Amino acid sequence: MSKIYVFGIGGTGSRVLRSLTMLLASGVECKAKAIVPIIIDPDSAAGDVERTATLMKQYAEIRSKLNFDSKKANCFFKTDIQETMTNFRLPLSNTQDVLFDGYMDVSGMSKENQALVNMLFSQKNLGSDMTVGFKGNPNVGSVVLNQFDNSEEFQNFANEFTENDKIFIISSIFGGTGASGFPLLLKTLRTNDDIANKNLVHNAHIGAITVLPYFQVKQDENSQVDSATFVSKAKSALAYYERNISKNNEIDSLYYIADDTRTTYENCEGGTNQKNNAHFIELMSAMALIDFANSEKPSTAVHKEFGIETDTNEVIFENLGKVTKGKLRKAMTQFNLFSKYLAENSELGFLQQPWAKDRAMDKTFFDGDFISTLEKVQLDYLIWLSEMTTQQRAFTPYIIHRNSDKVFDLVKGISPKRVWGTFDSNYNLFNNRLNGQSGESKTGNKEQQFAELFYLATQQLVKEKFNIE
Amino acid sequence: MDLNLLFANLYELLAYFDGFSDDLYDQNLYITIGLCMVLIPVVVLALYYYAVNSVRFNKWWHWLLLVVFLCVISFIIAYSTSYNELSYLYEQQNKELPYATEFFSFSLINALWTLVVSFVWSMIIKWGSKNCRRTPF
Repeated sequence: MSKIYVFGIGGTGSRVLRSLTMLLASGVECKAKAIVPIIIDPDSAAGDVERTATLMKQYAEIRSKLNFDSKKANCFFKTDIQETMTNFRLPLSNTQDVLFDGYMDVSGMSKENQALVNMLFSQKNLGSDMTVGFKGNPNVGSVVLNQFDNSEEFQNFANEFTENDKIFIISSIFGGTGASGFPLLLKTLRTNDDIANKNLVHNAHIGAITVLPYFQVKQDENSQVDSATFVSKAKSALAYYERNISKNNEIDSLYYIADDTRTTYENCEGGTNQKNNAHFIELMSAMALIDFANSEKPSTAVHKEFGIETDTNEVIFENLGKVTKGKLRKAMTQFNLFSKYLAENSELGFLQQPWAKDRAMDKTFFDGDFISTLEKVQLDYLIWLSEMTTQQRAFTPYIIHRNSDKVFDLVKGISPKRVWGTFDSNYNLFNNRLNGQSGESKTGNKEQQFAELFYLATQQLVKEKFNIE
Repeated sequence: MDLNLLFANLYELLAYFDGFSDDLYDQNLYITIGLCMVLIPVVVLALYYYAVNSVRFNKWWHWLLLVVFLCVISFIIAYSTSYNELSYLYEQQNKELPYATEFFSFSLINALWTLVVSFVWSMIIKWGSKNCRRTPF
């Protein structure tokens, strides 16, 4: 298996990477040795980027304590996420504390060039501060982002690139950073001769997802971000992609996704406040990468679109296609149960259980860094799930509650089955199944045992209660 | 193996009651009471560890309640058996029953041995139980 270098461009890129991390944490199968996320965003303080980078670091920290030899059943955190650049970010030079006209040194240009610049860019464009990104202006982005190969980090990426490694690019088409960054990055990867391993990179299996409009923002005269332009920008970018990317086979697999049922977000040009709630479209965009990881390099460009089985504003697992449902439902339900167990049970309670005592998992272990980091990721996972339920088209496959008398009233569309032969129900049944695990859940370090134990127990529970295999 | 002698030694290790203990021995009552003291806990505890085998009941105080219940049962068995049998014996001989507090003290000793035996049985049989193998600890 190979590594997949995943370029997440702009806010959408980071949000899709967040969803991808959640999927990998829950054990959705990804046929890759490792995922190497590379975030491209000039907005250094972007809330979406910060949140995703923190999550991926926590993921890597947890995973570093686990091993996944062939005897192990555990799939939680199975796919490696590698941090090859500080905070997973590809640095962009000269984008901080500088206006766009200063970046281009317009005042130092000849009069003819200044006239050309004034024709291509509005005064608003020229006076825009790039500290928070390109504010939905791909014409600005296409100038500033034309510098990928300048950084040492990009050269390192090319240096480390080996045969069979793959590249996947995530971007939106209706904003500024993603729309302009994707074709520029692709051009750099396919044609730039000034990078190491250029033949390997030029001929690599490259896929991308282009996210079409799926949300809108409130009208704000003081903001340069205007959702009225989203569709027109998407149309012109699509036409450009058709001419310059698809027709000449620059891309191997191109995925499209969009939604005409759109949530309206606060209008935010960037910075720490740009922290949108998770969205079903981002989750399914992450699934595009899972699909890409399982695919071979095609001889001509392949284009794919995502669709749901039934058009509804409250999507549950039953509304997804068979393949998507098969990949998501078991893994997400297992990790949901795992997360809820730690969030809703007291340490004192489970310290007394045989599964903890047998493995000498004491207070020191549960108060340690591993569990603390795991709990943070799991809390974020539960928040991520609940965020998706707040969207106009909500992904709401679970009944979200904290009722310890109805632990298994969980998966919408499935009535939990009665488990016979035991007096236990709810979290007692959960502990019962934890107590019943043996074999590999009793070998290796405590962290390994803990993950294996919960994977096996939740696997048994989702089969018994929901008939999900 | 002389069970009567074995149980007599066990009970009389804690207290010997003049006449009363001899009567229990002579009437082979130690066997009945002793076997109940040993076998009832093993049956009840086996049911607890392997049939009930539940997380709902695997706290130490659940086990303690069960053992107290077993001690009470043992006390009742010891008291009723010894009182009925010895009363009948002395009635047959047209004599007045010469014992009073002995029944209570002996039953208490039987309950105490039940506690010990229950603990020992628990330590032996608990390990195969899925949910109670760490009960009482």
